[in-house]
Amino acid sequence: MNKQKVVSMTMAAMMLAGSTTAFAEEAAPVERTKYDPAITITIGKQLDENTGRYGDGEDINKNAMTDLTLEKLGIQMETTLLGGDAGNYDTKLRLALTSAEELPDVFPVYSAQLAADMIESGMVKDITDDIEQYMPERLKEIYDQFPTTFSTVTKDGRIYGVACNPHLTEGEVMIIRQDWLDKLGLTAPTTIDEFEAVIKAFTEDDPDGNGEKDTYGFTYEGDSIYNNGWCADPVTIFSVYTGKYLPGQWQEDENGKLVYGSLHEGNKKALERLASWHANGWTFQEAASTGAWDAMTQFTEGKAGIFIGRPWCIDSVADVKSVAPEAVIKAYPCIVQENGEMTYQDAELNDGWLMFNHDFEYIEAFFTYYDWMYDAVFGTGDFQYGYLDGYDYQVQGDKVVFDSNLFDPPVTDAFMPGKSTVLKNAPAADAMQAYANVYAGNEAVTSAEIRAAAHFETSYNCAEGYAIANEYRDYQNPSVFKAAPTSSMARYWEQLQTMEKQLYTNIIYGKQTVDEFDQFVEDWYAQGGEDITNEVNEWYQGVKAE
Amino acid sequence: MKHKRAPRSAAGPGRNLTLSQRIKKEVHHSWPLYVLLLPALILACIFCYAPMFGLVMAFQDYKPWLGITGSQFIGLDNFRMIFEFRESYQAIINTFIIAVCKIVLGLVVPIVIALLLNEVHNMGLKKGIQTLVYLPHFLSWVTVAGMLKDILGLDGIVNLFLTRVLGMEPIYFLGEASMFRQILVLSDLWKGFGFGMIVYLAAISNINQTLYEAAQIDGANRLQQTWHVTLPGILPMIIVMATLSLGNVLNAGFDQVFNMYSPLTYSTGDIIDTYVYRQTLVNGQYGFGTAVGLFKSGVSLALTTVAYWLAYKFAGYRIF
Repeated sequence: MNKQKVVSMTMAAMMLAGSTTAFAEEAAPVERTKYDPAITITIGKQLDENTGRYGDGEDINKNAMTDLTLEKLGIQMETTLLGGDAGNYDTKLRLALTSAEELPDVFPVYSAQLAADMIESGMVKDITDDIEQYMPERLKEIYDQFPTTFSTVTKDGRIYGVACNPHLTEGEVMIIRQDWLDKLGLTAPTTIDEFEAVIKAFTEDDPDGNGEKDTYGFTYEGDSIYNNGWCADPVTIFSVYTGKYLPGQWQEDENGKLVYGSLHEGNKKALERLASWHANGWTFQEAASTGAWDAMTQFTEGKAGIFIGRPWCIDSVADVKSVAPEAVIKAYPCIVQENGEMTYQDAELNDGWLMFNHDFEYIEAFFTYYDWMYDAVFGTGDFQYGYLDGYDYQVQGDKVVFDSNLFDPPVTDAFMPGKSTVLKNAPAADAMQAYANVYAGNEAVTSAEIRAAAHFETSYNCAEGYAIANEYRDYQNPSVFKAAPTSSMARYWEQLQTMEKQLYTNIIYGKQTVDEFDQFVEDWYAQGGEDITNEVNEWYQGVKAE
Repeated sequence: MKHKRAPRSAAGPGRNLTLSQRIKKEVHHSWPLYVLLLPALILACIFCYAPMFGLVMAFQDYKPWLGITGSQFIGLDNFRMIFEFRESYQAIINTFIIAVCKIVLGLVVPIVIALLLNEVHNMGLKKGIQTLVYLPHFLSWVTVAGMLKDILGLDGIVNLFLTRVLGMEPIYFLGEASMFRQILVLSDLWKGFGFGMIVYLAAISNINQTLYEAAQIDGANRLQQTWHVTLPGILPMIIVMATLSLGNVLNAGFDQVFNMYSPLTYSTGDIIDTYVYRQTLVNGQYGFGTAVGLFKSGVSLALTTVAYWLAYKFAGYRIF
């Protein structure tokens, strides 16, 4: 539905002067109206713990980035609702619904439920027409690629928000201790059987050569749904047998209906396999009580040899060199399904949605500002390499440096202009593609490519991970169901999730047999799952019809 | 402290007056005291009683933008949800078992340790032990849970002992449903008993020394002195502590469980608070959350009342 809508949007010529430049090869001057006198846009912000350090006398409402916005656009960005962490921010937004807090002009919303509540409360603006009228063409093109991101903020055909910086986030790769493989004369596994052979060898053949039985093959997170999408993810093992029907996801079956992936028959085989690995000690024995990050730490401690995670995990586990100086960490494609196709994984298209106060008047100004931030993505206008020279990048002669430790003089904990906007993170484009272009030997032209090239220099194996992830981007498959929890979900979802987590983990740990899986599926439907499935499909039919 | 009857009956002249006259006289007599009391009363009304109107939410499908006056009433539906599912039922049972074990041990152990420590006459040693066992009280559960994960982990010191010294198979303590409650109760005891112990030690030090001298003259040995002088002396304090802790019968310790449990231990370790936390995480279910809070408060109130009555009936002691 939205796809058509956005496509049909005419290129409104009367909108912002000159913001029509598409992917400019060189920094083309983008002229924008400067507001005079300056206007103020109030925003809500979830404080990121990693925005760097403000200079003397600076704070969230007065810093290099807000100054620049005021100077260039005549827009004063003022944070009036600030939440420390996700929970705190959500609470404050909910309070704003009761008028105990002022609802800012523009604010990101990070949960589908809260977005639905916002729409139902009538306190957010219907921007269907504003998008058509004011959204610059190059942004429309981007949103056009991700029509599903609108479904969370659409009600009765009207649109109440836009996804925060929609783009396909980098996918997961298989991260292996290459030095262990080499030592044992093995190659990286491509199938589940090879995978099994490698984790067995990593456990039993003393890959670190210290004569002690202190290593094992595979570390993963087991204290949640078996599909976390970012690090120490076990989902690959499931996808080997279930294809695109990943645990925790809703996917369309051959009859055009949405089904819940955790109920797929193939999960039984995956669980059986994991259970046998667990019994043999080839996997992380404490996975069931360990979160994703801590599970990954097993690799950093030199205990585990393989995990599945996003490419940046390679930099995160680089400390393994402190316990094993000889360690070489390398990324490989995930293993393939039984039918030889690559395994699927979850995909992230956006982190939250921007919503607008019902009384907000300057929506045109907002899109000017948003488009201006996107200059950094397109490498146009003010932001060819990043936002502020000396903060998020530094031009040194004919070279651009992005790591603030390599600045002249080096800066620790540099202020990050891109994180000091209405968004948690600076708008980004497809990072994977940029890495792939550089990896293929092309000259780095766009700012993303220049960044990627710099990363290849500082951490080659990590950067390579992005290029590998890019090859299999088609297997990044988001859940189809993207709406707020349905009314039955509100009531039953938690018991169903509890049931699922218990059953999965208990089977892997040998406390329950895989035969009980069928009973679980039956119970799942009986204890509210039936209603939920119906409601989810009702929603889906509605979306398809539009 | 023991017979805290109001002294009004002693004031003879007031006896034949009507109620309103008596109140008038009382106010006239001691109005400065009532003025002093006023701020506390006002604060209690504003911060304790006025918010209680919010309890209406327990019977509503509450929507923040509609407010308490505008949200739809749904009767006892929220309460029904608490008891509707096997998982929530299990959580209530777990909460009860874990909390009762914690209350009983949390009462008995500090008393025993306080009595033992009272017999230590080396002041340095006594103070040292007192401080050491009190220290864990100040640690947050996030920290303690992290420590326990390390200590009880497969590479932890306990398993090292089991495997290297005793030659046993390592035990995955935090993944063993049958051991989870014991671990919860014991670690809670370790963390908390120092506090209770100090309360009892203070009560013991208030006991009149002449009672011990009299007992010694009567030929009572140490054990008899403890039994007949010390214990009766701290009995009021024991009753107060017991009554107060009974109010916690449905609080099994969210911080602790949340940081230590996992799907493997849901069956024995999932408690009401963690269950509600997960349940309401899906979406802001204010009504349901309030209903659970009200349910817990109701049970606490009932038990505290019973304890108060029992203390009066059997020990002849009014707590307040």
